[in-house]
Amino acid sequence: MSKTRVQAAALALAAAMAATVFTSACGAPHTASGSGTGRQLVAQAMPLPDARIRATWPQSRVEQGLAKGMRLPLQDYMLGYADVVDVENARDVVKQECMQRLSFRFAPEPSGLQPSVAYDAMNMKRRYGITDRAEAAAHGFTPPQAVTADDDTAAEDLELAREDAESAVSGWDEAMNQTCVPEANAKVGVLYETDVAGDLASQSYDATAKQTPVRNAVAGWSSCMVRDGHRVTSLDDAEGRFAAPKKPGMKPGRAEVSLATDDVDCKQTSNLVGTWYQAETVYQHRQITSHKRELEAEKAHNTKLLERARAVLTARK
Amino acid sequence: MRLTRTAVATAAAAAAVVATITAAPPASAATSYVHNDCTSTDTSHPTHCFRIQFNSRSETTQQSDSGCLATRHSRSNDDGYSPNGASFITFVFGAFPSDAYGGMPTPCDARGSGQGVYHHAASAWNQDPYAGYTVYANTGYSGTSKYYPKADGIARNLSSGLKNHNGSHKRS
Repeated sequence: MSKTRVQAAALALAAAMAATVFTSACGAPHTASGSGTGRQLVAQAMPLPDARIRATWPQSRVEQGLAKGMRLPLQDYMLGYADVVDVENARDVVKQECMQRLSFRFAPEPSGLQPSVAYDAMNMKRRYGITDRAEAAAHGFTPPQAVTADDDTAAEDLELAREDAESAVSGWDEAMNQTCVPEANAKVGVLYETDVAGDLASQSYDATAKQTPVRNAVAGWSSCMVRDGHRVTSLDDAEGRFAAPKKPGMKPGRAEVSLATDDVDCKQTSNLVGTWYQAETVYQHRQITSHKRELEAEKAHNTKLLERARAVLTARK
Repeated sequence: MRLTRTAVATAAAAAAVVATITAAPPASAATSYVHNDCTSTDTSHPTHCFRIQFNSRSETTQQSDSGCLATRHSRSNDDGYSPNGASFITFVFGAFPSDAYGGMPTPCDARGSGQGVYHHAASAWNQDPYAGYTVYANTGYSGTSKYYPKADGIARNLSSGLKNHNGSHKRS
């Protein structure tokens, strides 16, 4: 996978650079109107994520680990990963067509090709830190999705170079920012113009962290960690120690795996995940009652946004 | 032409990075303070960056112009990282004055300059048309999170649980 991605990125970079050189050599004017260029860029249809890739996306309910089956009430008001991917890709289709009309090349890597860590902003699987012992044993504190993506530094560097080469043409930024982004905003819409559900979920996490049962559970987890030889007082204490970029082929060290697996085991012993989840469930039901109108309005806005996005994607097929 | 400048800058920066890595004494944990994690050099037109900002956005303009960290990478710790196990790169907010950093739309000013990015951000502005970014409350992409879509011209405040509690960010 990694090698294939590097090769694909290298080919794409070569194509982008060739296009840029061609443009410069010909002196083709990239005016906002695009008139008088005497030629047309041939747009490559953006390859959208297929069923095989979609099968790798995070699911709405956590599938394994201590958070298995958990889903908090506010998630009913949040955009899921597939929704965000569809909106982003629809916006890219509009921007790509717009840039082509203005005689500029824009070939973004479609959203969804590198799966997200979380299904939505609730980040249920890692909301209370790592919760999956099998993942902790295999990858330490790094999510499997980040192992794939962050390890692939060569492909990432090539992709960034390709993007730089593609957008290096005079007038590219002006066309994108002044014409094509506004066009996508108008035709598809803007993601997270408001984020009532996300803001409330954030408040829920903070407020419940101060509740006695949750504080007791965190204290229990911390004591358990001390018994296992790890002096940590907060969830971030544990994870932060090993939060460093993984190099290609690098496996987590024994110290990281030991801390990560003990972290999950102690969360199980202290029932930290279950206790916090229960507290947030109660808290979020109350939030929904007191913010029903704003949440329903946001949900209606998101429904329309998705309808427009899927119409764009359907028309493109 | 920008491509030429970028290519030269990339090569120069790559050489500088290699020099830094090889020159770093393994025993001393030399720390460098960085606010440009986006482009290879400070003058290579950081126009397509995800900006993590020190202050909240303006509610009238929906823009953020305080000191920022500009990035195009996933970082599992907003404090920084060690590229080689010996030295450490610490992320700080900094200014991108328009004359020195030509091209960045609505440059970042000096408010918050030198302050560490970890747990000190109030808003973010994605100016990268090629990727979205997610900010997480904790390191290792854990905790509550907020997604910043591909460049759409709008800065967004971090939600209350993330404001002054940003632990990591991921490009996608």
